[in-house]
Parts: sequence; C-alpha cells; structure tokens
Amino acid sequence: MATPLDQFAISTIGPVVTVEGFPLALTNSALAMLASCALLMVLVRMALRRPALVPNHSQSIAEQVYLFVAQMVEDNAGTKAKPYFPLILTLFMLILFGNMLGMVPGSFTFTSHISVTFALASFVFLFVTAVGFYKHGLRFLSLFIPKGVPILMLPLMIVIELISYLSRPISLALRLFANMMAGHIMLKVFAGFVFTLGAAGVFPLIINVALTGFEFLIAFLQAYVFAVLSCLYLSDALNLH
Amino acid sequence: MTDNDLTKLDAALQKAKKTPPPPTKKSDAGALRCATEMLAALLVGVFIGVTLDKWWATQPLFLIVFFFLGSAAGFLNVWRTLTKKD
Repeated sequence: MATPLDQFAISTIGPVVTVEGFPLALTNSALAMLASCALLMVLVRMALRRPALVPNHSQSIAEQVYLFVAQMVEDNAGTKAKPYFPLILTLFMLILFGNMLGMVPGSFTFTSHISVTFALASFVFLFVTAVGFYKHGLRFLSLFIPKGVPILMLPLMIVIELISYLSRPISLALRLFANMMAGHIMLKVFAGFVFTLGAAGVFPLIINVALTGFEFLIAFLQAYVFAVLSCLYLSDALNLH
Repeated sequence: MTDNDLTKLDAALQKAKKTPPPPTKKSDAGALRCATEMLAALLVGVFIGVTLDKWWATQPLFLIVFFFLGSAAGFLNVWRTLTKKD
C-alpha cells in the first residue's frame, strides 16, 4: 500500500560504485538537484542569448529576478554585502528551482530532506562565520557579548548567545525542510481522501486544488526566507555593533 | 458633479493622506517560525549537554544545565524574531 511518505524515498539510479567500502551512486535526490541546476543554467542562458537595451519577455524576467535579489541583499545586509550578492542569488535560485520542480507531479523535492537543507544551512553558517573572522579578526567574538549587561551576568549571557548563534543553521535547515515536507505530505493525504470518500471525494479534491496553489506560495516564500535570513546573518558578520 | 462634491472629495482625500497607512503584516513571523527558533536552540543546548556528559561521565548534570541554557537561548531567538523592526 502506498503511503504519503513514499514520495520521500531515496532510490539509486544506475550503478553503485563502492569506494573504500563506501557506496557511491546517483540517487533520485541528486538527480533532482542536477536537474534544477541544469534548468537554471539553460533558462538564464536562453534569456540572455541576445541581450537588448529594450529586453524581450525572457530577458525581462531574468533582469527582474536579478534586481529583486540585489534589492533584498541591499535592504537586509547593506551595501557592504555587495560582493556576496552572487552567493545569495545562487542559493535563492537553487532552492527556488528545487521547490518548484518538486511541484511537478511525480517528481522529487530535494529540499524536503533535512540532510540537504542542513548541508545548505551549514555552508551558509560556516561561510558567514569565516567572513566575520576574516573581516574583523578576533574582534568578531564581540558578537557574543551583549551590550549593557552587568559583569556578573556576562558568563551566563555569553553561553546563551553562543547557543543562540549555533542554533542558526539548525533553525534555517529545520524551517525549509519542515515546510516542504509538511506541505507535500498534506497534498498526498488529501489526494488519498479523494479516492476513499467516493462521491464525497469532490470536497477534498477542491481543497487539494487550493492547497496546490498554497504550496506554490510556500515554495517561493521559503526560498525567499532562506535567502533573507542568509543576508541577515551576513549583515551581522559584516556590520559588527 | 458640482463644485461642492469636488471640495468634499478633496477634503476626504486630504484626510486620507494624513492618516498613516496600517502597519503591513509580517510575512513569515508566524507561529511556525517561532517554533523552529525555539526548537533549534533547545536541540543545540541538549546536544552540548549530552556531549559534555559523555566526555566527563557526569550524567545528567550538564544535560539539565544546558537544557535550561538552551531554552533561554530559544526565548532570546523568539524575542529577536518578533521585535525585529522590518
């Protein structure tokens, strides 16, 4: 019997190569990632094939996306974050395409696995921390010393601030993963009701139509939230108080 | 439309311009966001506690200490999420 969780099953595609006792293979998750990367590159290439001063439709879309993310970086991290704009744009577009490709019936949503979202979030976290230390040296550690705290409370507050800082990648990963997984399970559960309820199945069908639209909103919103939070963390590292 | 109507409309427009627009609703400051912030900090706290206990064989001293520190960090996260002025 098929369950709503079957859609998240990982399966290998093609041969499994064992390297030092560690099996390596192309999985459906990796294939979805490659597909979204390839689609992204092909679409942007096609959009900018014949750049014109007065853009056509596809060039206009590409430029709008560029400006949208550029504005987001400037609003949330300031002008100092300009050099990191390509990173944020790449992250945003990869997650957006992953979420949107996951909305194609029968496809695999790679952002619905915490291993993937946690890898992305850890990368952001390590990168931001490295930028902080590179820009400010050991002065970056003053991020963990809150202002206006009595000396007596300081040891406690530093530990709390440190835990709060370490929780950033986890909350970043958890949010994207939980939203994508919950939404896709809900779609499958309501789709199951359509068949089991017989003639009354038209009601869950109507709900499912609405939910599908809602899922598209979530797919965009979560990519946006991931990018905005990355900008905010970057801003903390660049503009020390 | 008479002149009187136009002056009335103008007065209404001026009044509407003076009243500040209603505060825009935050897009993702909902319950789920606060829940993940809280949960993430608790997970980090408990993980640190369990690891320190394993190193120094002091079960469950550090688990308890870091559970409370983690929940404090969780409240700090939620507080920062909700008071952000964007």
